[in-house]
Amino acid sequence: MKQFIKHIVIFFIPLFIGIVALFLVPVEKKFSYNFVKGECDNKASWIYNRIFIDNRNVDVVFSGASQTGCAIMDGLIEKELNKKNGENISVVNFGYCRRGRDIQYVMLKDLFENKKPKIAVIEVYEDEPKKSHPVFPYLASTTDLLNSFVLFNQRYISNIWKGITVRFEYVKHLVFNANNTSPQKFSPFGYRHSTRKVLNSVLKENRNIWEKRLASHKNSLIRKIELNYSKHYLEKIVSLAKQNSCKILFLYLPESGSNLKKPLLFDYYKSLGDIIILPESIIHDELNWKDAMHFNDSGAIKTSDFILDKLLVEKIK
Amino acid sequence: MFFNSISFFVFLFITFLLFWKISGFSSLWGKVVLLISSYVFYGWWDWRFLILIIISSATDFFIGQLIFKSADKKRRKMLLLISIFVNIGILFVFKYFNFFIDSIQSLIGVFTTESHWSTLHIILPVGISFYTFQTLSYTIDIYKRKIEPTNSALTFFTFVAFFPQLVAGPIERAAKLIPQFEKKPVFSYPQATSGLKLILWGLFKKMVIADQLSVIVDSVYANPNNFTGWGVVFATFLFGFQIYSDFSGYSDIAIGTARLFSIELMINFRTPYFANSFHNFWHRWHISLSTWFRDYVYIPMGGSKGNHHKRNILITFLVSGLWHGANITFVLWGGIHGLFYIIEQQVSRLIHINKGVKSVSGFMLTFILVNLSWLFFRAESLTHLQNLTATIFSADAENLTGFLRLIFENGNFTEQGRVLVFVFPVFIIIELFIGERTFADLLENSPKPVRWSFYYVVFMAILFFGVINAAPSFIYFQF
Repeated sequence: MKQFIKHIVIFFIPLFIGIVALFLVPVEKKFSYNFVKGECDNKASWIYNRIFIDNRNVDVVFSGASQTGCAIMDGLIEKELNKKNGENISVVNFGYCRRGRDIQYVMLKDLFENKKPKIAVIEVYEDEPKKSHPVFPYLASTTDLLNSFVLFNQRYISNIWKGITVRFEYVKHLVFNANNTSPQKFSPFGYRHSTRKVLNSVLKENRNIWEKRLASHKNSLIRKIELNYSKHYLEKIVSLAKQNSCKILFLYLPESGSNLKKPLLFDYYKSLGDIIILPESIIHDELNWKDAMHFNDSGAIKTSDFILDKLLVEKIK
Repeated sequence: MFFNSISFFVFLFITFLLFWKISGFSSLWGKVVLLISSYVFYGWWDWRFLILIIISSATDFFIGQLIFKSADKKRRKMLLLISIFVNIGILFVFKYFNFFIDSIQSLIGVFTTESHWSTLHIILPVGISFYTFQTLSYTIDIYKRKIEPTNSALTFFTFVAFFPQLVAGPIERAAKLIPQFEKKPVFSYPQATSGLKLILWGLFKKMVIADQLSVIVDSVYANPNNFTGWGVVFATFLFGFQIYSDFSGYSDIAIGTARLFSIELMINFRTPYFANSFHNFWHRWHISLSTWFRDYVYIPMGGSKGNHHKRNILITFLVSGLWHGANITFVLWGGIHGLFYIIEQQVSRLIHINKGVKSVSGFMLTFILVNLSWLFFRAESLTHLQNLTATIFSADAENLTGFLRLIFENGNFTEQGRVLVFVFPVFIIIELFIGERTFADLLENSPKPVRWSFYYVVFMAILFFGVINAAPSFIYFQF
């Protein structure tokens, strides 16, 4: 038995060396952003293009999950800002499907390295997400990936595995010169348009879910541990913005049925930056929702108009 | 939990360590580890499946004891019928009920439109056909006084649920497997390393050959109208290799995994595509199932004795086809093989030619016919089958552009094209070398550096050419 285990260990030593070597290979950003194509309407490819290929600067960036993607008409805000300010201001919607502060951090980090945004509007929800974003390990650099061992990143091990996968696929890409990053046509803005209207039963179901969720109470220590991962990355985002002289604003985008007038961590966000709270007339109008969690075009127009007023008072250029 | 998943290897590692640690103190507790881990493995899909396997195991354990103790012929027969009724009943309800209802409705629908019988909304438990046949053979063998029942419920339950072969065989016989569970396990270095080699080769066959070929095959079969006749024919031949690599790959992993626990399972495939006759093919393809049908269906019907030889062959193949799935296409596939088998027997008696010529022509004919018959197996319905055959016989059958695009696009090989052009021929050569042995026996007399280098090459081929993300599940799990 001992000899058997010894031989297995010896056999796998080169493999472990190979894995370590994989982490030393810097993965091209183009590859990693395109690796996750096929989900979220290929938004990662679009974001790559906007950061690394598109020559236009980014003055205002909206970062968040699909809620941001469906609520912020970046094209409309840009047009109105330019009209009213008479300047050439560029606005982008980086809302990427599913919640997770780590991926927002990685994308903003890449953005700050290539553009000079003056305002970053960060989406906040009723509560902070508890887990790492599933796409984070594909986009994160080796340092960011290994440093994500923060109490308590529930997905650390699976993230490392995904990190190995993407790096290995990159090596395969180099070896075979695989043509999986073929040029694509990109729309100029990141807003996800929809004219769909939500069913009343769906809104009702969401209200019930929230009633139950808010009625249940969690041990404060567990809650603190659970939120630590997201808070850690949110603070990193804020610090990154400060280093780049970029103002942080938080935008509260609640679900249709939560009925929470402000986020549960309101005071925490307040300590990091100003919070924009949407008027209830937008949130409580059923015609503004495409499903229980996302606005449709009607909701997005109203939200964008409301935010536009907030941005007009900021000095962008 | 699929054999080609990380979770399986973590599970296997833990089970292996626990088993050998605990077996050192007590073989009984070692068996407990195997049974629990087998139930964890099976329950991973859906814990409710465990209820069925426990019912099936308990029924046959007690009935086996009762049959053995009883001297009364009638009572013994009655007990055997109860066992068959329970096992086939479970199989019927979960696998065939909806098929029969639909078939009867279609039949009635020819005469009237007023038949709407409801079908059951149930899922097919993974591997139900495999363990049902395995446990059924136990009571039949006791009834025939071929074996004595085990007195240990733990041994019997482990025999039914042993995780390496639980979901897709090999379908083992109690006479071979139960004694292995009853003796104290002794770790054997050659056995364990040969197990690892089989696992490695099984993974290669599954992840590199089967999963990559499946991308081509699925594309063609999903939209046959986009391809021409030759495209469908090529895809059908590739499916032949896909299903072989998929299922024999699974069997290799199963046999290899069992060897890590000092358990020897039967060889299920012996390079069947090198067979020189249908008779020979069925002695090399899914051996555990074909011998099961031979022993428990064909021979009890009279086998080759008497005047009903051809009928017995045909019925055996039709039932074998139905075993594969509740679909008329599987029955047709079985029937076609039965017919080929019968025709071959008749014709080979009449033709007297040189042995070598007979062998080569037999190989070519068997290879072509076996692979073309996969069309019936792979088709999802009769309509799909009609669509596929219509494409094969369509007028523009000579144009291969659509099919070639799956292999070569934009001046580059596709991932599947690379495997088909560069890896697949090497795979065939290795299979030729393996012949009727196993991969574990290959290079056994070569020096260690040669062997290890070869295993590294196979390992790297899995990493570089295999489908690592979202690998499709093993085809035979559905049966």
